Formats: sequence, C-alpha cells, structure tokens
Amino acid sequence: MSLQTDLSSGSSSGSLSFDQLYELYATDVLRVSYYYLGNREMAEDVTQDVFVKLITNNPVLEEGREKAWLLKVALNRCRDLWRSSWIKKVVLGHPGFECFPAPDEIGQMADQYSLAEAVNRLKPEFKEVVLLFYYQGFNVTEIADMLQIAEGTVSSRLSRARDKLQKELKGDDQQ
Amino acid sequence: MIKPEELRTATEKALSGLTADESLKQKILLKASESEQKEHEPVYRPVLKLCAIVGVLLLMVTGLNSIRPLSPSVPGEMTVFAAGGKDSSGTSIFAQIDTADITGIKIGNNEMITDSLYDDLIRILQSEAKESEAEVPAETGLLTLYMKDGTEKVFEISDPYLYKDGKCWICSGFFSRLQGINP
Repeated sequence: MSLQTDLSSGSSSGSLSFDQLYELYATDVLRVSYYYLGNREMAEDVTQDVFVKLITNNPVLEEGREKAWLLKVALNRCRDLWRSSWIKKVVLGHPGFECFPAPDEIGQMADQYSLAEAVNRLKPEFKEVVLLFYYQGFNVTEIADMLQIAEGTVSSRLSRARDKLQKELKGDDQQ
Repeated sequence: MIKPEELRTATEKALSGLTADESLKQKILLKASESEQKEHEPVYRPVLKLCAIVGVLLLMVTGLNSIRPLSPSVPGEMTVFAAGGKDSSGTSIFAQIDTADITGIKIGNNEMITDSLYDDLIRILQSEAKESEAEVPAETGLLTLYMKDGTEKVFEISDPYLYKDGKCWICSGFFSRLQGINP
C-alpha cells in the first residue's frame, strides 16, 4: 500500500511526518554517509541533502520503505561526492577514520574500532553492500533493488567483502 | 575476533557520539525553505539561449552545405571522408572486437571459457559497458582475450570495473554473466 508521506509537522492517520522520519532515520543516514566518506562535515552535508530532497520532492513512499528510500538517496549522493573527489584521494591519500564514542566508552572498544575502521577501508562498492546488509539489516533482494544491481552481484560483493574484512581483522588480532 | 555480523553493535559503540541532532534538523529546514523560494524566482539562463542560437546556426550551415558544398571542389577530385572516429558511447575498445577473431578467453588462472560464450560476453561489453572514473584497486584480476593474429588483449578487472591503458569501464552485466559460469 502506498502512503503519501505527510511532511508537515503534524501527522495524519497512517503517515509519517518529517519530524518522525528525521527522528527515526537521520542518525542512520548520517552514520552510513560517514562510513562511506570518512568525513563528518561531508556526511552532514549528505544528510542535509537527503532530507531536503525529501521535503522538496515529497515522494510517495511505501509504508515501511521510507528508510530504504533515504539510504538509497544518501548512497547515490555519497557516490557522486566520492567520484568527484577521487583525484584528491589519489594525491592526498584517504583521510583517517575517526570514532565518536560516548565518554564512558572511550578505551573500551578496540574491537569495535577495528571493525568500523576495516569497513571504512573497503572499496565503495563493497562498503555499500556491507553497510546495508550487516549494519542496516536489509536482505539481498532489497539491496539489489536499492543499488539497481543484480542479486548475484550483491551476493558476490558481500562474500568478497566478508573475506577482506576477516583477513584484515585476523591481521589486527595477530599484531 | 569480532565478526562482520557484529557491525551494528560495533557501530553503536564506535559512533555513538555521531548523531543527527536538532541543529542539523534546523539546517535542513532552512535549506529546504531557501530552495523552495529559489524555485519561484524567474531564472535568467543566458547559456541556454546561447546554445539555442548556436544550434540554429549549425542547422543553417548544414542545410546550406547540402545545397552547395562550402568547400570548393575541382572536377575529378574525390572528397575523402575519414573512417572511424571516437564512438560517442565511449565503448570503442569493445566495439572493435570481433568475436570471430577470438581464440580464447581466460579469467585469472581459471580454465579457458568455452567459445559458445564469446558472443554473449562481448555483446554485453559492447552494449552495456560505460566509461567510469573509478580508480584501479590494489588487487585486481586479469581478463585475457586471445586473438587469431597471436595478440592478447588484457584487462584488469575488479567487479564491476574493467581497466586498460589508464581507462576504466563499468559493466555489472558482464560480471553477473561470468558468475553464472565460474563456480
């Protein structure tokens, strides 16, 4: 069933308001963008662009599919920014991945940092499927639809990304 | 050892201080209202007008040329038109490959792909491959086309990209097709 997303501050029956969508999904959009780009300011810009597009385009979103739409738009935007800055990356090198733990978590999360950093170091095409599958919990069919690629390609990339991650994390363990 | 399956938990801890707060929300609302205002303003588009004028001029030149050639010709002299030129779709390297000239296709160290698939694979590259700007990754595989004249065309590959001589193409369909034949 398709529902018109109500983007006024109030909500009518069965529709999510902008406030609700922001509260539910904006942090996920921000963190996925940060994983992709490794830069907080750019991740915030992407998050802004996504929700501005939501307000100005006012798309008809299927119930339960709002998050998929938001993340799809975010990943498209991240991909554009990544490609446009590839020369900088080749010349200047990839920026380091920074964690933002809560104050009481600092010093207690070496494993979590290793995994997050390892994900950040993946190539974009692998990073996308890993973030959508392991972080956001979408299945292969949903990911294929969001990224407009074949399901076989999603499975193949997940498999190869998993191998890369396990190799990296194993290497970290042995150090 | 932490596993990829624990990424959700790991992220909640590693990035718990990175959240979409009220200030970001206000920036979004401000940007949205600014972009709505811009939509209602009349826009002066000089570039479009210039393109329209140039387009009309080109049409006129083409039309005149069909009635009377603009370059003078001497009786008995033949006008030669150069063949080839860049394929506007940017896939000229694949368009030049004739499957009848291929004697073998190999991916990495795997066995040769059977010749019944040459047409399929090359057709996909010719119709779907598009130029891309993706950088060459550290690890790539090799796609080798063995030709009748003894030459080899070698591409570095990393799903969904192919690289050769500093150029890059993206073709997801090619790698999807390969997955159907490589275990």
